Amino acid sequence: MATKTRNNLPSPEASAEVIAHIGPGTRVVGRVSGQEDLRVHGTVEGTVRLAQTLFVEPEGVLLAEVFARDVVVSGTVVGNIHAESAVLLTASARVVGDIRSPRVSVEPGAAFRGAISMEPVDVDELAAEASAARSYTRSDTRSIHARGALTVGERPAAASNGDARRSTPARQQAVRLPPRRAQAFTAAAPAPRTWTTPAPRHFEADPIPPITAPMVVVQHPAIRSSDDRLRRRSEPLPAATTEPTNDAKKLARPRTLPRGKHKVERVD
Amino acid sequence: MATTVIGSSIVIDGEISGEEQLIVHGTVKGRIVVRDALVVENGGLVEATVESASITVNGTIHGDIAASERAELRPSCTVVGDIRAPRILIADGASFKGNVDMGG
Repeated sequence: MATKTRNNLPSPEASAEVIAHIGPGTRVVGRVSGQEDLRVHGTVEGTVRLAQTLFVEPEGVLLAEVFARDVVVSGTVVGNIHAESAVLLTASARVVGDIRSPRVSVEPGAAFRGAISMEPVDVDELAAEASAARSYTRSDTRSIHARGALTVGERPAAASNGDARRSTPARQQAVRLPPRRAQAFTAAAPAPRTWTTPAPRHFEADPIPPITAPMVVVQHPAIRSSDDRLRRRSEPLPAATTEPTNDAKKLARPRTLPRGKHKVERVD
Repeated sequence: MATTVIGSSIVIDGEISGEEQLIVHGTVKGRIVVRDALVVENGGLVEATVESASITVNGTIHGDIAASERAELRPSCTVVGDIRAPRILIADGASFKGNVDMGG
């Protein structure tokens, strides 16, 4: 951390001396915010919001809620730490509070009591937005949740975040389970359509509800088009349900049926 | 490290108290009580009641100033507020509005 390069400060007065720091005999009570690194050797109470790195030096005491890009703690922090990038608790750190950061390092010797969450800070909002955006689509609540979780899992990987990416396979594993069952079922069907295979993964969750209640859902044109097996089996049935009185008459006409085999069975 | 430096992008809303020198490049609102010296650098903005032994202003102070030794207003400074100090230096070019009390 000593090799950390200093920011280019906009002020012409910003000379080599200017690294923002709070000296060991100084106490700040209130809100501290800034766009540059800050080193705390003294005491800060309240709230700290930094766009860069906050250093709590060995003699520093922070009784504050901390929001920063990175937080390096060598001193004492009582309060929650929210870091966009990383949190490092060095061997001399004493921390009581919750840490929320995609990367958290705790060196041997550090004292810490609290909870650690390595999810990105905005992941809850993202999941809520994803669910809300997809709720208009036809599907059960299970697949909505599955899609929301999948989207959440994909985001940290796109953000090239190592620790968050580690959690992605587990999430996707849980999401993939229903589609696998659906794939096995489709493979057993006599004539699977070619487009069902390359369809996006989240579409494959749709055959599950029709399986549980085929007679009801077959009538739904959207679902019928998505499931080839049910569509094939149900083709004679719509004629039977819509015109029950003309059932035998309709079946007797060969041209109305696409498959002659069915016609023979029904007529007999 | 016997000083405290508030960088140019730092904003503190609250109270700063300490035994050592305080250099302000950024913004402080509220109250400053420093036993040693206070320096408000060019670009620094202090909207606070200030108490210190020695106060040097290159930037801007909006608020009352109480110095136990001296207060110095440099040419580039802007001060709005009352000053109470046994010795007061106001340089040519300094902008000042307020009352002066030299304890006389």
